[in-house]
Amino acid sequence: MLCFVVAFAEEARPIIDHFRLKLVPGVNAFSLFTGEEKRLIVSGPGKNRAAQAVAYLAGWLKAQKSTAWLNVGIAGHETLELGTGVLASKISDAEHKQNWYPPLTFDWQEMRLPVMTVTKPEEIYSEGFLYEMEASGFYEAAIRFSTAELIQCYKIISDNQKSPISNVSPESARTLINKNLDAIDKLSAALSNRSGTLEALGQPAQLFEQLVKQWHFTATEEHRLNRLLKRIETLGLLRASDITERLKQLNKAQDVLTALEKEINFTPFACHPERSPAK
Amino acid sequence: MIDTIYFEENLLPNLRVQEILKRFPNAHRVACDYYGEVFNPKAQNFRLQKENPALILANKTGSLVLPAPSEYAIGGTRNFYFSHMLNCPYDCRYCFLQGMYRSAHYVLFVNYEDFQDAILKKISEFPEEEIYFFSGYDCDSLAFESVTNFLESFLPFFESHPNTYLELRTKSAQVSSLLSRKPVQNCIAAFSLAPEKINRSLESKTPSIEARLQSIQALQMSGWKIGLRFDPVIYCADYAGEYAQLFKRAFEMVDANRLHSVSLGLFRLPKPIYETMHRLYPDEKLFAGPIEERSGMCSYPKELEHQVYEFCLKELSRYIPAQKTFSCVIV
Ligand code: SF4
Repeated sequence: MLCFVVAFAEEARPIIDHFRLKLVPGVNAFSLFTGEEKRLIVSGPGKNRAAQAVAYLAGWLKAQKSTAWLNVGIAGHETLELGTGVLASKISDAEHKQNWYPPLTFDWQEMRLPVMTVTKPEEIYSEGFLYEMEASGFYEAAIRFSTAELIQCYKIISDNQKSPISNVSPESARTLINKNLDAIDKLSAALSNRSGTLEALGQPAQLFEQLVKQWHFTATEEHRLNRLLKRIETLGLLRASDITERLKQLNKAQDVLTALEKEINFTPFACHPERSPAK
Repeated sequence: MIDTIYFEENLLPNLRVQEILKRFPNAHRVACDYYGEVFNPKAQNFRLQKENPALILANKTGSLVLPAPSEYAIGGTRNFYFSHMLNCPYDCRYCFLQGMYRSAHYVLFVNYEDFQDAILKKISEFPEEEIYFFSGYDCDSLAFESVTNFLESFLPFFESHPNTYLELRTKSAQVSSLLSRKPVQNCIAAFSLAPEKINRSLESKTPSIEARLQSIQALQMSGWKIGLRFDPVIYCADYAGEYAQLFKRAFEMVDANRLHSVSLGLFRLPKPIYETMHRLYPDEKLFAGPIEERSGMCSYPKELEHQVYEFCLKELSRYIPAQKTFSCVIV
């Protein structure tokens, strides 16, 4: 699952169209869009609105640690050409003097630069930084729900020393985002891929749902049951039908857990033949 | 190989930092105030980060030399470790660093001279004793040598303090920086070895066992002191055949009479570290297999541990006297 957080409707429009997202009716606090494994929320301007939008969307979709988050928006820079797309290598909050460093786990050859989140539009650009108004609020909120590798900020240069922020209009913002859809698509694919990896690892074991219906497990026992079943799955010890067959005589949840534990004991580590040879 | 380098901003004029930055002209550079800002935050996933770790250049403060765990001992009464680096470019699935640190980024502490001052302090505390210093506790001592130039700085330092020992612990087969020098008599190049099958399954990105053995042989022939580390021993199908074969091959390549030490230990991890690693790799057979907790450590069930350990010990005794074999079992 990938969630886009975008400040303005005009900036969001190209992303909504590109990923064929549909407006969710009946949501008043924010405009919310949904599509296959993607959500988009229009936060409004400023870091507080961005943080609120993340929290709202996380609650709405019951976000997991595996949910990926991508903030897309416009930013100013002293010299970079208008329309240049930049991935944030560092996010600094000018007001609270706090920094974050989004870890990059995929190959990204395009530009990366530090981003400074300010509370008012900035016209004096200090060298090296991009200036914008949402990233720190977005990032600080998103790391409460997800892991840092799945959270990125992508900014497109909308103003510089030659072309001040007063020149930026909703239409120009939309055009700038539109021009960078390839990069947004690439980022979205990389984040979705990693999100999918984590999501798959967090899935309950195959037989879990079936067994918790058959016996009464406490919450702690349920957790243990899931872990034992996953270990059995990983070790490739038994097929689901063999497990249910072996357990069916048992009366108590505790006996089920003991029986599963016995299956694992003394199973030697089986080398992974599929891995490629070392150098 | 490295596409992002974080550096503590006040270290920019540092020569070691400058040299490393020059080595990676295309790496993206990001300044930070303190390495912990990048390395320590909670919401990080070691497994995801291991796909593309960054390098962090930092200054180590606080305690630079620490007492080594008792299982590290290889004959000395005073054992300390120091970590000029955290994490490693290899990816061994059993590596405790995965459960110890939240981040898989490599941290290189460039203030080598401060480490040496701290080592000198320890030497002066125990002037009459042989002290062992271990450099491969939080990293592989040699795997990153081409970047760190660790040996260039630390070998002459230890050479001038002959009452101490430096253990380099490694899986690297790149030993040219050792071979190009005169052997340092108080330095032990200790190599971790495992059966080829285990190596291919669990020691991703490391050199093959045969390549390591070739390097060990070359070093021993040129006069370097060698240690062999069979640790962690992994219980696998036909472990007896696998380890018997490994020992046989190792002692064909290495002159047992000139070995400094051998250590032997079974797979074991502190419980919280094991649990973090299992959470990161729920699909890993190594963690899914038979493991039990004893005194806060997770290892194989006692009976199984005993059986495997005794087998290896007996097998090793065919090649090397017992006094050169050190045990890393849980006491
Ligand atoms: S070589 Fe050592 S430090 Fe590196 S991953 Fe393997 S066990 Fe860990």
